[in-house]
Amino acid sequence: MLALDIFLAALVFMGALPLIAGCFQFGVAGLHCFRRRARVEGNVHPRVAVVIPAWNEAAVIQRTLDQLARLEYPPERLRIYVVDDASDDDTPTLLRAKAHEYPGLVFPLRREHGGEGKSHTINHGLRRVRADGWYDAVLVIDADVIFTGGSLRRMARHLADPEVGAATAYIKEGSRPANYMNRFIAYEYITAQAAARRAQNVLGVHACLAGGAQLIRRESLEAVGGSIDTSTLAEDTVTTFRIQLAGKRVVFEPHAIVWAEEPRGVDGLWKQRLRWARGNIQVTRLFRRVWFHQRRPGGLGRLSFALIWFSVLLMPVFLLSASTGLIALFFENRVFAEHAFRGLWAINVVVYLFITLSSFSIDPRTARLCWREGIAFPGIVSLLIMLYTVLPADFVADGSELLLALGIHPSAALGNALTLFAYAWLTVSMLAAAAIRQMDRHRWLAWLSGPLVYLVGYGPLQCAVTATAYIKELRGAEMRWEKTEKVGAIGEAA
Amino acid sequence: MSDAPSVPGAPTELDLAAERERERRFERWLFIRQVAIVFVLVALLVIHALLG
Repeated sequence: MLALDIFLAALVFMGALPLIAGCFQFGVAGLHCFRRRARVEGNVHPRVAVVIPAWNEAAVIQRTLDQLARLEYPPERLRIYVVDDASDDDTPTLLRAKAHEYPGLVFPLRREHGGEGKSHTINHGLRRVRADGWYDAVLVIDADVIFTGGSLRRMARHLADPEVGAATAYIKEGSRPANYMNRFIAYEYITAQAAARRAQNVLGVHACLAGGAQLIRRESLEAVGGSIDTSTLAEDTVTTFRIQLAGKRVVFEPHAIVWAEEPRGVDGLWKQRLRWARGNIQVTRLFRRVWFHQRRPGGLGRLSFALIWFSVLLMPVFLLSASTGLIALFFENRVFAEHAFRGLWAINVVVYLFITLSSFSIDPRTARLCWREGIAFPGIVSLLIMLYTVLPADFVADGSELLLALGIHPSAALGNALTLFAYAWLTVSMLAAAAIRQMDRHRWLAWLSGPLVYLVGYGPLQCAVTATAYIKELRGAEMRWEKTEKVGAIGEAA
Repeated sequence: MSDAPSVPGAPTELDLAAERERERRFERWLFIRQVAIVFVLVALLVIHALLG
């Protein structure tokens, strides 16, 4: 039976793999000041052709263009091509007005038959840019993003190094007033962008140019065929991989800040992230010959990169594995199960503290806005389990007193039920997150989704989306581009 | 790649050098803060282990 116990414990500790990967990334991110710097670091101003795909963007496009016109960048070295994907709102009229206001800077393009998706719209713009032949680099952005004054200049300076094929910026959540979801996303972007992309700078390999700010050198665009991928839902990730496989580096510029408007509710977030997660699964398949092949150019085949990539992609599998192992151990060897449970959650506590404190340290300004969401990121239930792991005796004593005060007498059956609940929580949390999404779509229950996200956690919500993405991909579900609704909520302070 | 042109109101070379130095200083401090966080966590672990 010892062999069975060890096997089940191994299943349990598979749940720690994403934690270790997270810890690794944050550890490496701290070394960013020692990263390989550009061989040439200069104040360069390449001719940049900005390509903006736009479909019914009347609420946001004017401010985006005004902000681009005010960039600390020579106007004669900037051209903005806005591709109107057959919008049926005021977008075409507004674009004509902006072209009149900024002659020689804004060039509106129109697709009369749109609806094919963002990547086709971008390619329409790229065809025009390449036909004009004027550009040194192309900047692909979203219609709602707000570039801060020095952001493009900071990104462009990396192109002084001929080895750099593309650069991206730090996209921050800019909706004001920020609701609970905006604040969760703001915190998530510290971890997923400011920290993870710093780590990828240090490792010399990048998973993805942020879709809202991709500055691509002309030679790199030509090397990947002059267009972006239309076969997956993650065209920005495919571009990033192809640029690196073609032998050029991709860099993240953490001091180039770009504000974006993100979803304000669970349902909007779910749709956006489902698209991203399905895209990542498609990318994993598309580049199946790259993984774990150390000699592939660009570092994409390295073990360290695979650890980062697959720890996110396979997170639902790892969590399911941990829960399964714990429940099986509960019926097999309760003492061993308790040790395995506390071991796994002890790792969780340390990683949680490291990642949360590091995130606050990496972007203190954003942390001031979203520190509560940073603390509640794993969910209040998970925080209680962590508390139990650290102080089991106090937790049990206080919990028993609380139950007695509520008129409930602690019994062995209740203890077993609570233990099984805690053991299964990593998986149950994903199911609970999926239920929250359903509630968010319900007219009368939507108000509950906010408090429940704090209870269940934002992390489990993302895991549930990834699990759903697997189901959709296995079923071969239609690839629909469900655009995130933008209303122009980016605040002035942003 | 093009050279830097002179643009009215654009940051000067001096401004840009100061900006780069500020960025470098931020990254250095980030490293120091990360090391401090690791030390604090290790200390907490040791205290927790000692207290049983």
